[in-house]
Amino acid sequence: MPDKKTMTLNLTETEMNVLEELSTQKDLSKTAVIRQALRLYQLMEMRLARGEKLFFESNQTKEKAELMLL
Amino acid sequence: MKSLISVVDILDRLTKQFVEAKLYSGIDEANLADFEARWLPLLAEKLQRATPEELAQAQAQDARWNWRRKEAAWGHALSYQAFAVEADTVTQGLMYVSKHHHSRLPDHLGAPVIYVEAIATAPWNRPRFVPQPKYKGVGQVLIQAAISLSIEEEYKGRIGLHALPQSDSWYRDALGMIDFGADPDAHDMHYFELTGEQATKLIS
Repeated sequence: MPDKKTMTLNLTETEMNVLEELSTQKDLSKTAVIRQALRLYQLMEMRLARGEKLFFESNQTKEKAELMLL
Repeated sequence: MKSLISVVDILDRLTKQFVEAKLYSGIDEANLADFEARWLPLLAEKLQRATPEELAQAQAQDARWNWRRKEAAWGHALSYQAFAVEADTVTQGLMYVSKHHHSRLPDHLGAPVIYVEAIATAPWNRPRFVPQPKYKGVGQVLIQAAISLSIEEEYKGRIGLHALPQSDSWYRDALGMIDFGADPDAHDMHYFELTGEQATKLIS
């Protein structure tokens, strides 16, 4: 495992609530949730940089909605 | 960046002796050079002469995989991780996993799993590819690495994968993974998943 570095993260109460909710839902520590979020963010950026688009598809209707990122 | 995880034993089927193999996180130019110079000619030759059925029979359905392209696409992404097994200073196995997939088990829906994107042992280790396969245990070492990563990432040992048809029985019967059947979203390859409980048994 690579060496890890520690940082302090300042969150609003709402953001912290969401983090705790995700942590409970996914049965992951808050650190693991943040690391997962960072991976997904980087993955999206890499694919968008290649000119790809990000869609959500409805399981029922197969309707696709493009997710616009700034 | 490539780093040594552990030294493990694999069986040399020819001498019937266990030999040391090195398990690495990350793959480097030496692994890619081995793939291109040692694996690819054998796979390409098989690909040229075999029908799709014969490719499956010869455990060569990965003959079109290009590990250099995989490394170029995934090597810098946090969500992907590569592993290599080396013995005799030669690459004996390669694996790429990703960390952004979710469980399909009803009890764990939405829980993260380590997803095995690609896994392969060198052609000369495959019992149906060569008359006298060399090393046994390379695939097992790589699967155990995926399980260990799953535990390290707090995924409780859960792993998932779509299997090439040539390997269905190994995942189902040898590893005891749950077979979800053909997945129409993945060329009808069978999707397999290992629960945390099964994973613990496999690595204990």
